[in-house]
Amino acid sequence: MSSLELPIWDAIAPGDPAAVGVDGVVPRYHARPASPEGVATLLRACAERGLAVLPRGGGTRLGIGNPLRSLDLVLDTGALDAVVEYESADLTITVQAGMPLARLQAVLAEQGQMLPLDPPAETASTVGGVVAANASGPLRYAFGTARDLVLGTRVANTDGTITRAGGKVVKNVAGYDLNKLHVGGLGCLGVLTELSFKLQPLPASTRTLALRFDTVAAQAAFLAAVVRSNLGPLAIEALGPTASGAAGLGERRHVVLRLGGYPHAVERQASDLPKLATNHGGHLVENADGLWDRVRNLQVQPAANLLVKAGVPISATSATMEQLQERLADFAPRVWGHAGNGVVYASASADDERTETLAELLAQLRQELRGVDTSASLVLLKAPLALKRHIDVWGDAGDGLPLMRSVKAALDPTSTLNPGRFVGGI
Amino acid sequence: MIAEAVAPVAPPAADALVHALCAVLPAERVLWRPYDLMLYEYDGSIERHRPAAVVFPLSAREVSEILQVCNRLGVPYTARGAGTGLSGGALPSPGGVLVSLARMNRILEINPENRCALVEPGVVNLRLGQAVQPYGLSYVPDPSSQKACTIGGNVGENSGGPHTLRYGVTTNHTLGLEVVLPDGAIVQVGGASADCPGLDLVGLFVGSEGTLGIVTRIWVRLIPIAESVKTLLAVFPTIDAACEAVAGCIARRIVPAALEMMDNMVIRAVESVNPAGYPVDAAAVLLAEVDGLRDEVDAMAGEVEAVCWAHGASDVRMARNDLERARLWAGRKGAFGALGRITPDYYTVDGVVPRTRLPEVLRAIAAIGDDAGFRIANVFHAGDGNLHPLILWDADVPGAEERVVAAGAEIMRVCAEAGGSLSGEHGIGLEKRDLMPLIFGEADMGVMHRVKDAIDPRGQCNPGKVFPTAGRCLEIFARRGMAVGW
Repeated sequence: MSSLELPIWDAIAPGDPAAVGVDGVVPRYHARPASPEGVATLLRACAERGLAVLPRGGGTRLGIGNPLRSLDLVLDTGALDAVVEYESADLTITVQAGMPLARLQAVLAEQGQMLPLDPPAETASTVGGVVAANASGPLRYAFGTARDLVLGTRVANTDGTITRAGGKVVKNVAGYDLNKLHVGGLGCLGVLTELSFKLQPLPASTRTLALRFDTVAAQAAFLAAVVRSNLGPLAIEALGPTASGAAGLGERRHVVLRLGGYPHAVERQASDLPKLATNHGGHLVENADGLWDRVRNLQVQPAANLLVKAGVPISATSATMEQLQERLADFAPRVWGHAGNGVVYASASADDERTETLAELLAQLRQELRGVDTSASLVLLKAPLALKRHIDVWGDAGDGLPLMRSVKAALDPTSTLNPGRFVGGI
Repeated sequence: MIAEAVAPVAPPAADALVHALCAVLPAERVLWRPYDLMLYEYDGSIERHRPAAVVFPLSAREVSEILQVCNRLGVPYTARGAGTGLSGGALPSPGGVLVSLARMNRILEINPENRCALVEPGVVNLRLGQAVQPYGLSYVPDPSSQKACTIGGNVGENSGGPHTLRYGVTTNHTLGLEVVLPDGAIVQVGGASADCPGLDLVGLFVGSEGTLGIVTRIWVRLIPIAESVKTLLAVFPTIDAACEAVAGCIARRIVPAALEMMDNMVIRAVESVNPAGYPVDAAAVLLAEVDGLRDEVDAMAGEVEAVCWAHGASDVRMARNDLERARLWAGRKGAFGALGRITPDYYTVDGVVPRTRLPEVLRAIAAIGDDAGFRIANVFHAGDGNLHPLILWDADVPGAEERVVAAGAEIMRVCAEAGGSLSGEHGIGLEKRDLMPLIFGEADMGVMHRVKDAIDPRGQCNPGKVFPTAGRCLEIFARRGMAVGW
């Protein structure tokens, strides 16, 4: 096909700002297709030539994954940034994948709506990148993660086709739900070019509560109570001492709750939840403006080169936080978590001298978490290259790995996309 | 007329199959006499296929052994829960084995601290709801068939129900699965922990209509029961007005827990069979439910009420207590059964449209009924835009089945053209496989095919479902002069 002869990519000159590699691998080419068709054509051309492609949105989560086996071309989706269809009365929107999430939220806010997906607010992050990385934030307690919000996708495949899954309507069981494979699929099966989302009205009023606890046991007991209650906060964030310090709360243990909804309901929550905390030995503390944004953005910590995420059963959240705090003590970790979901984060600075110790420690932690629940995991979302060479950032992907390999082989048979970056060397 | 199933694998002599199945299961859990099999040739859809044998495994290991027998003999197999499915997903392939999960019906664990439960696939939906209720928890998906349908079947079809408007459908409440894969391997994907690394295979399996393996355990999400619930019934003089009230609620940023519509034909059927207090002269009623803290439900209910009045409601009634609330819901949940009393047969159509398109789509559906000479009743999840037109017909009238199925296909075309989908919660199964080109192109289906082939390379796992049979759709639509994708 003649279209494949078009100059659809640019060679990267040495010293070019586009020559930003990932994990020390520097690409030779850079492309920024102007249309979904351009993405598909490019993918097919790369697949035919055996070139390895790294799809890239805002470039804020490129550190996720194992080192690439090879990298020839960086495919920047930034030119695909249009709103395709926004029917606010239907509470749905369809946008191109390269649209920055922050801009999408601004468009929605004009109509009193939001996409309830609140990963740490890096302004460059695109919706496609956030969905592909399955990034989430505290609001997942009330609204779920990208898998619960994506209604439909258009994907450019390595055979040059563009295919659709799902749709624009809020309920849909026609055919396989292939959206799910691309949410969190890290662009390893295809490149997202368009996404349809289910939206939520912006809450009529919001408030943030900070509750302080003197002991781990008290914090844990309160968390258990609030998860069981039907008081319904939008988010339940548990903070260890260091994370509390970073959020401006003082280096003690805290639980920060985000409330939202009808004003009467928010008032009731703001009155009952501190009482519940008092029953468990905690107390309400004053919080300064901007607390919620600081809590939401605890992950954004340029000085830390290590960020791990543990996935555990909800009731194991507190214990897992303690475990990470203690075992990583030598690395002065910042530990916090989405306590209503069983998600715990720890960030730290890892120096190259202690790489092997750290790798062993993380491997042990993985084993211990697996002892708590067979589906528990510890993933390194950010890690220095030296550490990535010692430990698989994903850990054991479980029984499903052979199936994941089969799916990868079926959808990207040439292993053109992100070779080696995903679980099990996919 | 979409009836003929594909039997890609020729059945072996039935006795060899039965003999092999009896080698892995006690003989009393293998049915093979024609008399015994008759009960299993139906589900809730319009078609019937008789299996060669029905088996009742009690464990994943037994399921695995059954699949290995089927693989060895080249026999297709199909999983079945309670057989309430409406799209033929649980109909066996002719000469195939029907794997009934009905006896794998234990609730293995209820863990309130983790807000999850671990259940076997044969657990009846309502029973799970009742079992978790004492813990102050609920299992959200609540199909109308919840007194009979199973969690395994719900997972297969990604079932919904009235209360999924605010809280999501089965896929949003499924944390993990144990699955017996077509090669007999028993795997766990997902589980009680959040964010398992790798591809979201749980999300792929849910709604795959039993075509990728047989689910033997399910980790479900539970949510706290709301402190307060208010249910109201709004009465409308026209269907358009009721539709506009639905769009009005969504546009006003009100997301009720449930928002259901019933038209006059349904209202009359309900009132004649099991009166719920619906006004029989109304063109349509909306049944709305809001839940949350008691401090907010009054405000929410008030807003819904105001929207209904603003769109021309002739009456709005608030249930004053649990008894009145239960009565309003009993009418809705029993609507399908009530219709069964006023017509020899009815054909349930399931489609989804954007909520703002409801008025025009309902008008188009009424016109389809008029043209085809069928009465069409509507009872549906209006807040989701999930339609359930019920075409009333009589199977004893020669040629009626073909006409009723054609009318259903016509309704699907209208939904597709409005930017909607062929199914919100009943699945594609056998019923709508040949309509898939209305919303998916050849390349879209090709990707689904590649996934199917990657997981079920032999093609013996519930064959003939979801995917169009080559040529059939062209046949159906060519006569009607409709554009088809391929």
